Amino acid sequence: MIQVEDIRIVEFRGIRDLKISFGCDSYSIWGPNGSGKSGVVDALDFALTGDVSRLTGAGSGGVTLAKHGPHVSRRDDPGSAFVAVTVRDTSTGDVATMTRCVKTPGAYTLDPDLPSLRASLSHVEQHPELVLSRREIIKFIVAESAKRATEIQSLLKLERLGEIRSTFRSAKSKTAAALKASGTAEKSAQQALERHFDLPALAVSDVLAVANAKRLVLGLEPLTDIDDPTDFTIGLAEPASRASLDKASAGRDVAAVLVVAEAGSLESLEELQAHVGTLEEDPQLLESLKTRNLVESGLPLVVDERCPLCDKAWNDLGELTAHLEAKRDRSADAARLQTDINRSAAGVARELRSVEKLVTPLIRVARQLDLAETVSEFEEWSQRLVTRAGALSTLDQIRETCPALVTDPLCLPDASASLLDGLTAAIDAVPDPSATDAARTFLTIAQERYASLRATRSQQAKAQAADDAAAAIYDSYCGALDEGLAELYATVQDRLSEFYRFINSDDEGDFKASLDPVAQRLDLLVDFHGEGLFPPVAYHSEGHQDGMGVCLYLALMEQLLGDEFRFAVLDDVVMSVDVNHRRQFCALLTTYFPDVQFIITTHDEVWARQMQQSGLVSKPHQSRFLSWSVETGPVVMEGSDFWDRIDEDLDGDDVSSAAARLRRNVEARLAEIAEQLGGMVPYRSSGSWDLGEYMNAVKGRYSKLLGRAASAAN
Amino acid sequence: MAKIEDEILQGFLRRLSESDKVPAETMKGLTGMVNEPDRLRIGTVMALIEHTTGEALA
Repeated sequence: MIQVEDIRIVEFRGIRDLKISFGCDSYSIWGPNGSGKSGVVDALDFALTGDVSRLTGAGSGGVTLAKHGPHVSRRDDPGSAFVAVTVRDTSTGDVATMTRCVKTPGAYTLDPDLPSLRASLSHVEQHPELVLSRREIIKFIVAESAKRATEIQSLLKLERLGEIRSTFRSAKSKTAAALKASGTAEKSAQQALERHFDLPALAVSDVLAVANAKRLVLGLEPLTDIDDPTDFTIGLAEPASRASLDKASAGRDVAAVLVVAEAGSLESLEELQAHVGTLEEDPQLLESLKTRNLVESGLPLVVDERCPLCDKAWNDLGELTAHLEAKRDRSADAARLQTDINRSAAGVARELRSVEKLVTPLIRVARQLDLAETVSEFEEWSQRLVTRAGALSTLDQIRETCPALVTDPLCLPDASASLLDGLTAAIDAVPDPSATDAARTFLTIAQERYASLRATRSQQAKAQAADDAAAAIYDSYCGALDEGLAELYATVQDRLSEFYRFINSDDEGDFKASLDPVAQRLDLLVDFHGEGLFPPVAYHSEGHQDGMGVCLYLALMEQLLGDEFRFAVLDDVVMSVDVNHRRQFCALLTTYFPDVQFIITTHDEVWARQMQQSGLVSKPHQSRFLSWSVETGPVVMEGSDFWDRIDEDLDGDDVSSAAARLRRNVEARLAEIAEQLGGMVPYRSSGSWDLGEYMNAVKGRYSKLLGRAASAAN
Repeated sequence: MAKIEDEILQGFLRRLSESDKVPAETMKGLTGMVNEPDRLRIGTVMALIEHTTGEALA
C-alpha cells in the first residue's frame, strides 16, 4: 500500500496550480462550499486510478474525463491538465512521484521508476473505493437489499466469485444434460438388443438361453455367463455377412417403428405446447424475457431520479425503483417459464432421438433388401429427426419449431404406413435361411447390438462420473462461498456495531447491527434504542445514518485490505453528524486506525478544529480553502505560494489573473482580520462581501480599537 | 486476487479435496485454475471435468 507525501495539481477541474504537502500523515482540508476542496479529492482519485468517479457515475451523462477533467479555460487542451503525486510505499519506504495527464489517463510516469512501487500503485488502482464521498457511503445504508448486496460485493471485489459460481452451475447443467442424453442412447441400445432377442428384459438367464440355443445349432460351446465383454459369436469360424438378414428380428424392428408411427405423438409435446402457448399469449412476458438482463443490470445503477437505462427523468426515485422492480419481477415469472420450456423441449428432443435410433436399423434392412426408395425415405426421415431435435436448444428455435411439432410430431415420411408395410412384405418374401445360417446371422447381429449397448453404457458411466464431479464441484463451491460470505458478513456486522457504539456511546451504547445475506439480497437491520431491529432509514436521523455509513465502510475496508488499509480519502462524509459525535468519530479513527493516512475534507470549521484537537491531524497538516474563482482556482491559506503564483502570472504577462488572485487573497485575509477584530460588514444573505466592504469593516474597527487604546493609555 | 476471494477459493479447494467424486487429476486442474483465475472459464472447466473423469474410469 502507499501513502501520499504531496500532490501538485495543474489545470485540473477547478484548480489552476496547487501544491499540498500531506507528509504521509492524516490531513484535513476545510473551507466553504465551492472553495475547491473536492478538486483535490478528484485529483487524488484521478492520479491513483486514472479516473474520476464523480465524472463517471450514474447521473453524469454527457460528462467525460477528457472534456471535463481539465480546467474550464483549458477544456480543449487535456495535455495541460495533470496531477503529480509523491507517494511512499508503506512496505519498503520507497518514495517516487507519479504523474498522470488527462490526455493519457490510462498511463502514468513514475520517477524514479521502481517496480515495487509500481506494483503497489497497481494495487491501489484496483481500489477506487479508497476515495470516498458521502454519496457513496450513504448508498450502503439507504439502498434496498438487492442493490446493497451488489454495491458491497462490488466494493469487496466479490463479483468474480459470483461469476465462478455461474461457471460451475453451467458446468453442472451441461454434464446433467449429457447424462440424460447418454441415458437415452443407452435405453435405445438396450431396447434394440431386447427386440433382437425377443425378450421383454435382458435377464442373464433368458439371454443365455436364447443365445445358447443358436450356438447349439452351430455346434458351439454354450456360454456360461455374460461377462464384460461377452462374445456371442465366439467359436464361429466367420461371422455372417452384412447381407444376411434375421427375418424375425427385422420384423420386430419394423413393428417397433410401426407402433411409434401409428401413435404419432410425443409424451413431452403436450407440456411443451402448453408452456410455449402461455408465452405466445402474453407479449409482455416475452418482452420481459428479452429485457430481463438489461433490467437486472440497471437496477443497481439507480442512484437518482434519472433512469440509468433510458435516461428518462422520473419525479421520484422510489417510483423509478418500483417500476424497474416490477419489470424484474415480471421477468422472473418469464424466466421460470423459460426454464419449463427448456426442460420440456429437452424431453421432446430426447424422444425424437429415440425414434431416430429405431429408424436406423430399418435403413440397414431396406438396404439389404435393395429397396433404394425406402432407404432414401428412411435416411431423410432419420435426418429430419436429428435436425428437429437439434433445433430445440434455444428459445427462439423452440418457438419456431413448436408449430411444426404440433402438426407433425415425428416428421413422418409421406405414406409412412405403406413404406413400413412394404418393408414388412419384403422381409416376409425373403426365403427362409437354413437353421445354421439363421443362427449365425442371429449371433452376429446380437454381438453388434451388444457391442453398441456396451459402448453406450461406457459413455453413460463416463457421463455419470463427469456429472458426479461437476455436482461435487458446484456443491463444494456453493458451500465454501456461503460459509465464507456468512463469516465475512458476521465480522463486518460486529465491527460496524462496535464502531457505531464507539461514536454513539452516549445514546446508543447497546447498538447492534444485523447484516444478513438472503439469496441475492443483503438485509441490513439496526437496533433502535433497544426497541428492535429496523432498516437504518426507518427511525435513525440522517446524521446517524451517515455515521453508520462510515462505520460500515471502515468495517468493509478492514475486511477487504486487512493490514494493507493505510490510506483513504473521505470527502465531507460526516456532514450531517453533529458536533459531539464528530469528536467521537475523530477518536474512532485515531483509536482503531492509527496507521491509516486519512485525507478528510470538510466545510465545517468546527470539525476541522476538532480533528486538530483530537490529534487526528497536526496543525501543519491542515489547509484552509478560503475561496475560489475561475481565474485563480482555490485560494488556499499558504502565503508564500500565493505571492509566488502572482509572480508567475506576471512573468507570463497574465496581469488579469495576477490581479484576480491578489484581490481574492486580500479579501480572504481581510475576512480573517475582520473576524478577529470584530469588524462589522453590512448583512448580506449570500454571505459574500467584496474587498471594499471588508476594508471598511477592518479600517473602521481598527480605528475604533486604536482610539480606545489611546483613551485607555491617557 | 482480493483477500476474501482467495480465502473462499482456498476453502472451496479444501472442501472439494474431501469429496470422493472428484478424481485427483480433476482436483489438480482446478487448483491450477483457482490460482490463475483467468483460466476459470466454462470451456476449460468442462474440458477438464470430461477429460479427467473419463481418464479416471479407464
